[in-house]
Amino acid sequence: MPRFLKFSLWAGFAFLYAPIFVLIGYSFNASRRGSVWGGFSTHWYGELFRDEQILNAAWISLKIGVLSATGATILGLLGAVAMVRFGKFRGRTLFAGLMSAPLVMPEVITGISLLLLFISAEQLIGWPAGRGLLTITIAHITFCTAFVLVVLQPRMASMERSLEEASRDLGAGPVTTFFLVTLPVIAPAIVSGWLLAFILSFDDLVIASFTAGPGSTTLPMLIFSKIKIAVSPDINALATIIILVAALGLVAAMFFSRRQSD
Amino acid sequence: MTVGNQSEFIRIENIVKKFGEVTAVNNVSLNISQGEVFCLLGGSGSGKSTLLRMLAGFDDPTEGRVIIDGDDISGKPPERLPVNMMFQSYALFPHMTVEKNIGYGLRRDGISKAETKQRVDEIMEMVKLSPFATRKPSQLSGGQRQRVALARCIVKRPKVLMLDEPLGALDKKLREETQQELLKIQRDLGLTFIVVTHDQEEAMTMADRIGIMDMGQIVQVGPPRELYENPNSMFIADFVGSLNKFKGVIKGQDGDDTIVGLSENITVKVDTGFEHNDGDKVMLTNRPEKLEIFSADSAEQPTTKNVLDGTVKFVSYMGEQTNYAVELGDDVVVRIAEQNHHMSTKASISMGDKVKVAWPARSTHLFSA
Repeated sequence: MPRFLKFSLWAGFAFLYAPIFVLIGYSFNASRRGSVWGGFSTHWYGELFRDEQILNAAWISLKIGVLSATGATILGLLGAVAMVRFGKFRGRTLFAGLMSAPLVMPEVITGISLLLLFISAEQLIGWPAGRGLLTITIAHITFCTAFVLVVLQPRMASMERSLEEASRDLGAGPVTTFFLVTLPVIAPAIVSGWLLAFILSFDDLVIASFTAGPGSTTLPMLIFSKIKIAVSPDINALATIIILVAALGLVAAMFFSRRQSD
Repeated sequence: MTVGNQSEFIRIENIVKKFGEVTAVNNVSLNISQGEVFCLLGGSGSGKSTLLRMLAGFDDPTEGRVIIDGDDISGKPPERLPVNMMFQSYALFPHMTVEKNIGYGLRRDGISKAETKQRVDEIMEMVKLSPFATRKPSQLSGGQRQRVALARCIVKRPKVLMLDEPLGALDKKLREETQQELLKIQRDLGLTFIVVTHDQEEAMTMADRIGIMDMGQIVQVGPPRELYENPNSMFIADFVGSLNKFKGVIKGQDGDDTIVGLSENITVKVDTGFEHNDGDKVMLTNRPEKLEIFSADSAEQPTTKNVLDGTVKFVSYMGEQTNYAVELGDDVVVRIAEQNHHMSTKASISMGDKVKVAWPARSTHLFSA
């Protein structure tokens, strides 16, 4: 039986990670044709860093990722405070539903509805003028907030209420208490929420495609448009780097969430 | 500065707390004097914690008011009250060192860094925490955490210190030590303590006075001895200490003694000021340690007014004392607790032995059934 379990484990790993390892392998392929092995080379990595278009898209994705992760974390934190600390306020169930709706909403629908909103808002109040970095960031904040809330709410709920009461008892007002006690105690969850939001934003293709404008092509959009023509080896190299960054982010998020449970 | 009367340092006036339909605290009035250790004792749901939370400012009373040292505290937030609370869970800030935890309250009051440091050092010295100043709470033992929680409160020199189940999380040995330390600090600093607990032993050993709470009301207030020796109701008698309870009927009067029948064949004399008529149904109670047990054939024999014959049903040796259950006949079973002084003839009493039970006429109480 243990032999069977071991086999199952490795079969499971293979199912999940074989494609990724194939991709990583091909990123070191010297051949120009994606499917033929032509010897080991780091040529495509060099090529990648000379490609203005890719570097530019990566920079845009990074900016959007940082901005929307930060925005989503602030909104998610406010949402978590409302859900956990305000007790049973009127419309709490509706609020909870609305906050978590983006989790289950198909991305296409989120994308279309945001696009329509931006267009009509521009017609009505002239803001946001055109589509670009700003609209993508707003769209990403919208759906990332739900994920941040999912991370923060349980941490907030499991935080001992008496910590805040002790702070009040010792002479701190509610605002001081929030910044000196509540925030530091849930800090690890805030960090992992931010990292999750960043990865989601960095990774998003569908919603960005709907809300992007000229000059705001994100990395996933660029990759997608490139492979529509042909799978070029430099994309394999780029994907490998993204996998590495995402893996590091995941490890960091896990590290912080482990620290919070100590 | 002190406006309030010393014996009315804390005045709780007709306080009521309702949560929706539920009345958690029902019209409690109470005076607590300065420097007193007052203990609120009650089971879970008795309203003792709700009362404490109102005194600390975490909850507002639905009706009534609380006056501490001449100031009406109703409606004021906890950070503006001259009281501090030691939480049952200690509620130490996990991200701060011992030093920072203790200094937190002083810094919030706008006291300078230098003075905070000096006062924190003094208190840490006093509660023997100096070697742990830079540790985090997670690196401390239970007893040390408790001392941090205490230090964090008393460094602010509060008028009243509230302690929520202060010894609950400590093991038995540490409890006795900590309790003595707490009371020493209380006396040295002249603090007023309000202790909330469900543990009657904790209440009895710490308190100057105890208020016993049940269903949101204070049922009896008094020094521990008074509650134990002269409970004003069956509830109190049963709540504090262990108790023998019997159903009985008043049979008549013999001088100062009331004659109570416990069954057809068993009657006892009770010396109490209980108002009664013949034929009244009553509950009769006494404490197992007030009764004495003698071997039927022992040289030493009881001299009390009531001496009853019985058979030992159960013996359990507890170390400092031995507990017996003795059947007096007619299914009347009485429990007796004897101190194990020395090797007496009682040591040989075992299950099934014929014995005599000495049952004093005083120290027995009657309550209406």
